[in-house]
Amino acid sequence: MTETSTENEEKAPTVEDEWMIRPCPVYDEEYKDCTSIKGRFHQYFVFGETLNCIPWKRDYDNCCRWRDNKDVKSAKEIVENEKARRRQRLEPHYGNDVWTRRKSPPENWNTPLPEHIQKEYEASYLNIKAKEMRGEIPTQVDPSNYCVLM
Amino acid sequence: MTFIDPSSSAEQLEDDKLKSSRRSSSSEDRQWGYDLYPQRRKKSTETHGITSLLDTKGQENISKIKCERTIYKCIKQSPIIKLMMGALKSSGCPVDIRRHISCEECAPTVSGGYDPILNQVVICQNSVHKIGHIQSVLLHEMIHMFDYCRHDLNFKNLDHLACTEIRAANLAHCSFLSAWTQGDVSVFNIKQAHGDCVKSKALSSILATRDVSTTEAIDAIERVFPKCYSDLEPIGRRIRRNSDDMFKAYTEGYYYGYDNS
Repeated sequence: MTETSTENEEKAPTVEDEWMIRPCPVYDEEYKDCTSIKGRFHQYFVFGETLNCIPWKRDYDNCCRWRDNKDVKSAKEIVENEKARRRQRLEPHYGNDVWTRRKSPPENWNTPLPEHIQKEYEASYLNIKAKEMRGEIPTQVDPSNYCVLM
Repeated sequence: MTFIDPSSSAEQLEDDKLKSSRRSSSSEDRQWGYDLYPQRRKKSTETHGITSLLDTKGQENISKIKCERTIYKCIKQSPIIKLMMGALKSSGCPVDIRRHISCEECAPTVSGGYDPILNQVVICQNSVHKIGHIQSVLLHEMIHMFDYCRHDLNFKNLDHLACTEIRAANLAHCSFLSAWTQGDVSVFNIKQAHGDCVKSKALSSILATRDVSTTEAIDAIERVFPKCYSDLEPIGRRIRRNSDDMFKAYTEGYYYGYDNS
């Protein structure tokens, strides 16, 4: 009994922060885009130099190994790369001290609009669609291709 | 671009102090861009004479429905708009398409704006018609909304305004072609020209809505540029025209918690 349960455990290895590993084609797409002519031109336009695309290739190869062979070492490498990407993306955001972060959303986010505007909106298209999205009325057909006689 | 409407805020709050300050600071009011959006100040009481037949007036209602229909399509189908809606919802500021978006007739020079007092995105139904254009305006204004939601963005502070305009130009505009037509790029000047394009776009946005001198605006932009240019949330990349970037940014958003469901 214990032997089969350890067998089962070996069959499904997990890696910490496994959720960070994206579907393998994503890495392939990013690598192809990074090395494409348009991509290279855009990199030169923005950064003044071409970027290193090798991490995407490594992640794609590692992802294939993880997906097909459950290679834990490859998975851990991907997770490391993803953590570095997250850090690179989020650091400038949290380090932007031109403004301070709010502790709660703005108070006027949902304050009611002035009366005359609300009245105008009663019969409007967006009002109907907003109600549909909230589930207050059933979805209706939008006769957008019919002719309008003024 | 953004605008502040002190008179409509006074109507809302019915505060005597505000009303008296409004009367005394009418010259100050001209600093803000509210004259670009005439319908927002008061209920429109236009009378139509014979000239309005020649003026192509009377199409406003149809224009409005078309505009609203295109906006609804964007909300439902455009990956980048769905990403912004998800980012706003996850930041505690869910977008209600009726409350937070509005189609209006505006001055011919603008294509849209964000009103932080009523908290509404304004789309100019008389200037933008195509879905691509509406998507671009919606994206630009939603970036302002995102900054307003997460941070203590004070639109009267020139540094804050410069920062949010830099971010909007950085994330949503300034493809190579638009930089070319703006004159920021030439055959001899491509390297890192994206930054110049962003600066000049942000400058023209600020000058269109604030009565500040060009030097003041340029100073503010230069002050905040390094920090604001590298802040790419919630999109995470500089969108390249004619690429899959919008779809990639949308799928990547889930890993950062931006979910609209």
